[in-house]
Amino acid sequence: MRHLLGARRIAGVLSILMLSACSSGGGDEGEKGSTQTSLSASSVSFSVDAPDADAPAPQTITATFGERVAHLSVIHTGVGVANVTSTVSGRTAEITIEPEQPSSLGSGIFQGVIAVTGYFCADAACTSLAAGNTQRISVNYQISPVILSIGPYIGTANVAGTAIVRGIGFASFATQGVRFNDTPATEFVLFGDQEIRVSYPALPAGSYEVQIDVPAHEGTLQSQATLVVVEPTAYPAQALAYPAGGPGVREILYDAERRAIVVATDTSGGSLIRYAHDGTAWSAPATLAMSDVQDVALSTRGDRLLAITRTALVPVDPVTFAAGTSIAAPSLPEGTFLRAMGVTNDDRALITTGRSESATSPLYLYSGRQGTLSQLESLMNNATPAAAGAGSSMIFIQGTSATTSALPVLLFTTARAQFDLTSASLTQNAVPPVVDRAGTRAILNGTNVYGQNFALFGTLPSGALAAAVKPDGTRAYTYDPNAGGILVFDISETRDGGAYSALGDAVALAGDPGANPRMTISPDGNTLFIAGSTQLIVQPTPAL
Amino acid sequence: MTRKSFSALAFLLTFSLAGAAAHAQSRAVETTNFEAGVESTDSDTSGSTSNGTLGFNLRGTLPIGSYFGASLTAGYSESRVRTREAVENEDGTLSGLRPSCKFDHFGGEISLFARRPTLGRIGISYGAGQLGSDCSDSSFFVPGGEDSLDSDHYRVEAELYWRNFTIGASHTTLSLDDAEDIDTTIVTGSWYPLDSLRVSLYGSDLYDEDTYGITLEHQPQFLGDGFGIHIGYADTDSEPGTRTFNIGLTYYFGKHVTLLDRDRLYR
Repeated sequence: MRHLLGARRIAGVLSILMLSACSSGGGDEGEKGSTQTSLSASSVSFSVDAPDADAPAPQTITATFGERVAHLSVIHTGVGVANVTSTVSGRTAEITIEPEQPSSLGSGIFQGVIAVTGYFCADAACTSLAAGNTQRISVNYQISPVILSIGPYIGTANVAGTAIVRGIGFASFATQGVRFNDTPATEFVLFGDQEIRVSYPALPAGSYEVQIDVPAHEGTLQSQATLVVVEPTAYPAQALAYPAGGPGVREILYDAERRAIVVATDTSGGSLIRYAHDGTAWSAPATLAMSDVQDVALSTRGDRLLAITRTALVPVDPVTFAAGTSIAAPSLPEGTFLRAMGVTNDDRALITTGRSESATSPLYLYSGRQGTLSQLESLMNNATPAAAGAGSSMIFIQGTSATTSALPVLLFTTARAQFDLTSASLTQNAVPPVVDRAGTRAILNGTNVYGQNFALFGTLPSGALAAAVKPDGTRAYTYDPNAGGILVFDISETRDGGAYSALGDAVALAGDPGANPRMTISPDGNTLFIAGSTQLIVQPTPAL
Repeated sequence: MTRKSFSALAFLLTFSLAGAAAHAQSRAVETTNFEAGVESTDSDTSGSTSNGTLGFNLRGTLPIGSYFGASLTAGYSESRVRTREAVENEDGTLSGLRPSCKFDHFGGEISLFARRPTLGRIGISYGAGQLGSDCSDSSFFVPGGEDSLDSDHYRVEAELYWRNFTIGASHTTLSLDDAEDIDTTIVTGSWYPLDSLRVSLYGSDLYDEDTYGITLEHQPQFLGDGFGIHIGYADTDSEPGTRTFNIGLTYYFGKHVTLLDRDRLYR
């Protein structure tokens, strides 16, 4: 009887249990599978064309998740992803992926993964969570190298040459080659992340876009570098008159791409004078008034003339000869003025400042890419720069007539963006320093010839009013009116500090340039241009 | 009154009447007792992340008269998600640092039950807890979009004791913040081949998915019946499937008895 009662009890309780079980679950059969999470896309790609470009815009992916998902985990890895944010609305979430700033990564291909996992309750009381499916978003972020410039950007037709390609981010991609349009470089060597030294074959006159071959890179690289190959100069000796007489010449440059001469003078308070050659003759000079112009140089790519006044940098269109918007030198100390300028091969220029006394004042840096002028911490004493033709280095000679002791000559290396003291100490005179194309020869004060590592190779006769170095560094040219004109020296070998002797007699100029002359040489080394207070002389380089 | 509440009340009433008709037996809870446990759980979801959980809990059970008892349980657990597999590249490398993701839970539960040690046990429970996450700023609990989630639940349960077997069932209604309630029924069958060993098989319909599991608990006599060791395995028949392993150790304060007696006279 007792067992019978027990069995009845068991049956009753089981019935209740079954009733309870049948009523559970809510009957939501249609929700089966609703722990699933899905994404609107499984990959995102970002791309910028330069490491100094702005970060690309964030991208958003929509995650849709099932009714049972209690927690949505969005985790990520990869340096290319700066941040991931989510906003939820109902059963969807907008996942926004923000790429990292290119400047903090440099160039390269950066991959990342974002994992999106829906979690649901692992037990009836939800004391822990279990994972549903994981959806992955592959992030591919390409920050392209950028080819900024080539220096020198001028080559001579049918003459093989060497140059330095500058850019940002070369080291992050395996560079397989360098091309000038479709013509491959004969040799190239990668120097760090921003420099490739190339040799190119003899090319006909024309413009050649510089490209590097990086198979790992998707798409074409942005190149702002163009090698302009021009026919060699063969100007006859000639004297060109100024529009107004008696100027003090600040600087002279030869624009080989446009076969033009530009002279910075103090005429009428300051002006730039331009002579262009039309293939037959030099044009009448064009004048651009520019108050207190101090110096002028051609930009790294030759697309701008950079002129400095006492207080600002003024870009000038080299074709139309129209001045652009000037950039004032910020925080220019009182009593200080912009003095002289040298252009590097990375679309920048270093600008020295001067004072009316023998004292130091700050340098300024012009960045063509950013269009900015900023003051540097470096101080120099009324320095005059001279940049190598390839823009790879620049020397600075300091001092004034009031300077009592010789000041160190400084060397700026573009690739390292660093100033170094050289072994030379001099106080500059009125003859500006000159350097050859590769920076292997320099002439300071018109007399001292320096070679590699700034060793004093030898000396030139004193009395020169201006000097120039053949681009290949084998010849020095001085203008010495007392000697009868242009003197030529073979400086290809060192004299161990001894005196160099002139090759042959002095070559008379086509005219007397006048006082305080400035001299420059064409990139092919065929023509000298001497501008003094009287006139401008175009003089074929003596064939010695 | 809801259908579920009605079921629970009928269940309780039936059992009470049956209990009243029974002959004199031991009390529902012999004496007030406490236990502390630690448990490690590994949950592995196919093709997704897995996580490891370490939890601690304390429970006290006390008699209320001869037929009733109550228990209070509090626990804390922390789960760490193994994120590497989720974010690694196809070649097994990582593009950056491995992100971290972890969850924690703190909760408690109070239960009231009636028990006849020779017949069975019925009870009702209420519990509350909070889940927290520390994965990333972009991770969130769905109902509120926050990094924590409050929960509470009600449960009715019953167990039948028959010789060395126990058959049990429970029904839990879980509320997660503003989300819809989740109902789960679990049916358990246990066998005591030895007084110190319990083998339990159970099935659950959480989320309408079938979950089946097995748990073994042993109370070694050489440890003086003061410790219980349990291991378990469960498999959820869902897509993707989730497998769960756990192992735990429980210390029983106070009187040391066999596992069978503990389950039917003390817990």
